[in-house]
Amino acid sequence: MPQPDHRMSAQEALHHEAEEAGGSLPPLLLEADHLANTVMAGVHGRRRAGSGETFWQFRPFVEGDVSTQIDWRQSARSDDRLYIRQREWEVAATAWLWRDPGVSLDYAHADDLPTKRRRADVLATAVCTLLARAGERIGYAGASRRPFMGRRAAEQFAGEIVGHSFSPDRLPPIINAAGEKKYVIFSDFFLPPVELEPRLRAIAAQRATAHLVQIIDPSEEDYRFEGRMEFLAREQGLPKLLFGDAGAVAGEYRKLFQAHQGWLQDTCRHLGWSFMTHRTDHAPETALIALYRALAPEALV
Amino acid sequence: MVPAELGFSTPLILGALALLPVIWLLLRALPQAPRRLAFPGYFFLRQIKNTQETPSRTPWYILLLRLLILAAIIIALAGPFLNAPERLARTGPVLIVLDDSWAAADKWAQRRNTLAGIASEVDGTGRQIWLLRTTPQSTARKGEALVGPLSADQLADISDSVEPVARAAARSTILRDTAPALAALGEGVDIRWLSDGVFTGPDIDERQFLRRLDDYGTLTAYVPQTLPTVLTGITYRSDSLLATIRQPQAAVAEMPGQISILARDGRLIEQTPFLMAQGANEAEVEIDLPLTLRNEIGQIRLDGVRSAGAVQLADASTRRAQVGLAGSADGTSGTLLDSRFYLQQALSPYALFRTGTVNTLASSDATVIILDDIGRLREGDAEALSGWIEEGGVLIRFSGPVLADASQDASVNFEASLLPVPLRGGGRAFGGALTWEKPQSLGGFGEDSPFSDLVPDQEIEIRRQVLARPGADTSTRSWAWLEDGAPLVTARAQGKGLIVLFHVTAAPDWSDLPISGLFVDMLRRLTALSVTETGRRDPEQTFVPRRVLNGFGQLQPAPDDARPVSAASANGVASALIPAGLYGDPDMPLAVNVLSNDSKLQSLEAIGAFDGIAVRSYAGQDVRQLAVWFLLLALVLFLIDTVLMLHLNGKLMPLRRQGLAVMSLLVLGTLLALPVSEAAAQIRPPIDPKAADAALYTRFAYVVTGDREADELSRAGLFGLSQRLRERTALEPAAPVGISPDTDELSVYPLIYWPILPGAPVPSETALTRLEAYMARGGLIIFDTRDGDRNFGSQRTEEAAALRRILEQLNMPPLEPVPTGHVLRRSFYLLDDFPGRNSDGPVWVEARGVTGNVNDGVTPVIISGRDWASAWAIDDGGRPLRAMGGAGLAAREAAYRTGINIAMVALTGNYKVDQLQAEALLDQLGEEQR
Repeated sequence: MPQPDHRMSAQEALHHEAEEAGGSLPPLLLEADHLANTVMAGVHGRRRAGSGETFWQFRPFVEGDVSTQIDWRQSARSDDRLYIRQREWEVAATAWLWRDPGVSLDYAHADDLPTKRRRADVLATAVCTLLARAGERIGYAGASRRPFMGRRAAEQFAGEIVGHSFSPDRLPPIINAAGEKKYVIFSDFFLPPVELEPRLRAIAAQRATAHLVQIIDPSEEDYRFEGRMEFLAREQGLPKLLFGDAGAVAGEYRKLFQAHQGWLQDTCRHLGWSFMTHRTDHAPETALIALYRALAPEALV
Repeated sequence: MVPAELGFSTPLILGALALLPVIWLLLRALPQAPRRLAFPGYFFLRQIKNTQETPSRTPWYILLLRLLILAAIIIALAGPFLNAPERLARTGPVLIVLDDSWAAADKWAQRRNTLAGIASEVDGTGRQIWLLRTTPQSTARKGEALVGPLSADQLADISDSVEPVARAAARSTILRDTAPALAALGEGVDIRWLSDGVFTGPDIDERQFLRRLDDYGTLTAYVPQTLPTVLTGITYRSDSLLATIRQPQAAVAEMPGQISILARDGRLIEQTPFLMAQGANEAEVEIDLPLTLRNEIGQIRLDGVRSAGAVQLADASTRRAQVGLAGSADGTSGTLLDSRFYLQQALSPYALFRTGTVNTLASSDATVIILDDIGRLREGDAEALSGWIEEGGVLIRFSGPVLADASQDASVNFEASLLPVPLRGGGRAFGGALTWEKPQSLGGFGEDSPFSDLVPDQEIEIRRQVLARPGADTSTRSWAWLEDGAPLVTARAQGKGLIVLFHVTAAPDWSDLPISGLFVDMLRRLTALSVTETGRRDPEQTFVPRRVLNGFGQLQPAPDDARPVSAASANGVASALIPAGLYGDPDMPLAVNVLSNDSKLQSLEAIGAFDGIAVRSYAGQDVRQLAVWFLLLALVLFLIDTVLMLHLNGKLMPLRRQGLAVMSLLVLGTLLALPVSEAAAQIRPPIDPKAADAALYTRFAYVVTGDREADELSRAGLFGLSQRLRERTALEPAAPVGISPDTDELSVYPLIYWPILPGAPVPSETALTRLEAYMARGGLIIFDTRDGDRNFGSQRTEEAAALRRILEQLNMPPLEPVPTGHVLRRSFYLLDDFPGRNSDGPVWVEARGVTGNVNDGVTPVIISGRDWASAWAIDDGGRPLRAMGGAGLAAREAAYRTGINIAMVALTGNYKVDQLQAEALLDQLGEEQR
């Protein structure tokens, strides 16, 4: 159950921009719901026996079953049969979703494109919806609270994610909760490898798996600027960069961009994680499906 | 000293400076504002080294620099100048009294600047300007003394063009002449007197001038700070020139100077320094010049003073003597017996001759008249001559039988007959058959005579002479005498002139004197005496102006309105009627100078002319235009700006390298431009690659006949010979080549083998010319008819006939069969014969000529029928191609030896010849030493 006090205090701590962002919660939920629904079509629930802790059913003992699994009490109730107590298949893991709160994401190159943050929020919420429907436990990384479950999970998650709009700390947090953890990290990852890599390795050291979703604006990848341009950082306090001819550095820019992306890919492959890139001008469904498949390959069997 | 003031010719342009702030803003805005974008890709851009970054704003110092450039250009356009003239707050018409005399010429720029200053002062006020020039004008132009009313612009134009005149100012006269016009100017005239500071006339005139001028209005006088030093005259002395230098003011300190003496053609003859003592206002400097140079003097000028007053033009009267020879013009026989011949020879470099009767000569401008053995003068002639002498003429008389005879008449007064001393009749002869005395030699020269520094030449013999009657006068009038004291040259002054008598003839019949150098010296001194006297001219004679002096002391062509002057009227200093300059015959000009030694030269200040009037000095310095400096400053700043910009853009280094490269290219280009274009202009035929190849390696050539077999044999033969040469000698020829004398360059081959085939055609004309040139310049051609074994008696083979046809066309040296001891027999091997494939028939070489041979004794041609090529021929494997008959190896060896000797002759011929003739050469050398 959500704890309103905690949420209020967390929200109070946020930047005032979060308030405005909060207003977009219903549309976000709606959008994420739509998105999740389109993806849901091919995904079914997992009502079957598993290695969970919750009782699922008794079934008669058949040759080959391990004898330690026999529920003697149930077997004793019947005359001649031995029953095996089956527990429900349970993923004892929590999907920790995290979306980069940096201002870097608050960028859209064109008016008809959503900002990267928005796209990340939608995707994260949709993932949350999907996972919630599948009965998964979803947590918003960075908020020190228990993961959400159930029908209202998406709603709660959305409130959480919108609440964490802006923060200068752009590194994915390390969750100290027990149990198996799966991370889903939404960011543009425009961070120096020297900062990002130790954090990723620290996460990996928890034996957690992670899925990195890089949300980028088309302009960031394509870099079609020309002429005299002055580039400012999204963050405060960084010098302006003036280019007499911005087009002249396009080649170099793309090389750096690709190198960075390549480094991310390599790092993820190294850690056994998945990495995917999503452009805001592409359909979010593709990203969501891909992400869902990456998250729960076993659920889709 | 007036402080230097800054002025502008067009100050309005300075208003543009007000635009500078606007331009400042413009310049600041100029770099196009960049498009700004807060871009997450910044993360990557930050890692990119920005190469094309330009600062968003031009740095302030660049901006300042550019504004300075602009300001400098604006100021330059406004025409700044230093030493701007002061302005006087006056109204009313302006009368400028300009002393445009020679005295103002030296600092004329000051006058111009002052005029320009007045022009700019008056500009825009609408005041009338009148200009009065104070040098006297010729009558025709008298009206031009006063010009006006002028506008300021007109005055500015005049200030650029006005020039001084080579005359003294006549202020008082001019003022009197223009008085009516001046009176019409009305009251309150602003008078500016641009004075020259000196006057030459009476001081009363100057005072009058000032008084009158004061009547017309307010007088401001511009007074020169320094007055010019002048050259007032040249005194011609017998031994030197004396230049008189004067100053209107006494020298404040010791003042050194220099005068230059120029020839008539403008050449500098001599420069002499002088020193004006402290407190003096006159200096004299003696100029020592050889007489010849003295006669060439065209003018003498004071260095460093640019004024007609510092120039003295030299007159004809100061130059070459005009020597009149009495007698008829056709009397000159030009023989060695004619006395006139000796006179003219002696004097021609220093004098101009004219011939005429005594009477005409006396009335001409002759300075010297020579009477050669004229005894009796007609009365009228004597009178004229006497008058001429009184005026300063120098009469030189020579004795002779006629004079000796005439002087026997004792009744005639010697003075009336224009003789320096009374003569004893007859004469005196020495050393004759009937005389006791030996011929006399020169005894000495009179101390006071012009000959005093001459050395008597003892070898001069005087055989006859006319004797002077002894007396007190006679001894004092003797300028030269014999050993026994008898006068040889006597002289007497008469009036300003001189009568000189040589007691011998002017021809060498009485003495050796006319043929000695002493005679020349003596006559020259006598004529020099004449030229030191003032000119004697016919006062009626008129002279056409030839060149006139301008105020700066430069000679210029005479103006059209210059009128001829008579000698009498020109006998003074320049005036309006007689401009200073040269008149008459360019060889004998009459000079009119601005000043003479008689000229009074005084400073106006000395007579207090400037007392009580407003006095200003001329601008101490010239108005200095500064526009150029400002433009230069702008340029320098611009360069700095360029460098700074390059530096800011980080392009300095590569650009400097590029710049260096470009610069060096430019310099190289400039250096190469001329030679290259010159080389390009000479159209050289390209060098034949074949010839170039042949020139790199010594190789033999054979003439391609067109017959394949013969050509191959020639090639193989020369190849074989080359091989042998390689083996045995230091000569290592490359493979032989076939050539055609028509087309190939022959000079690169030391030896050409030419097999003559039956019916060989005569080469073309060009080929023949080439062959001749080849032989003449050291080449060796072997004509081989290859028919030695077929020669029988006088029957001529076809090959021989073909060769004959060729040789008939060719310019060949005379030939002979190889004589014994010929270099061909000795050059490498000692050979008796020169066998080839056969050893019949003679071997012809150039005959040893009596007068020497073409190529240092090396034969240019060898002709035979020995068929050497066949004997030498080997194939590539070294096997002989042709059998040698019975003699076999030995014969082939002999043929090779022949070939080697021929090759040695071709390459080292003249050395070998010298070796052969060493004995004869040494003999010859020995003879020469003996």
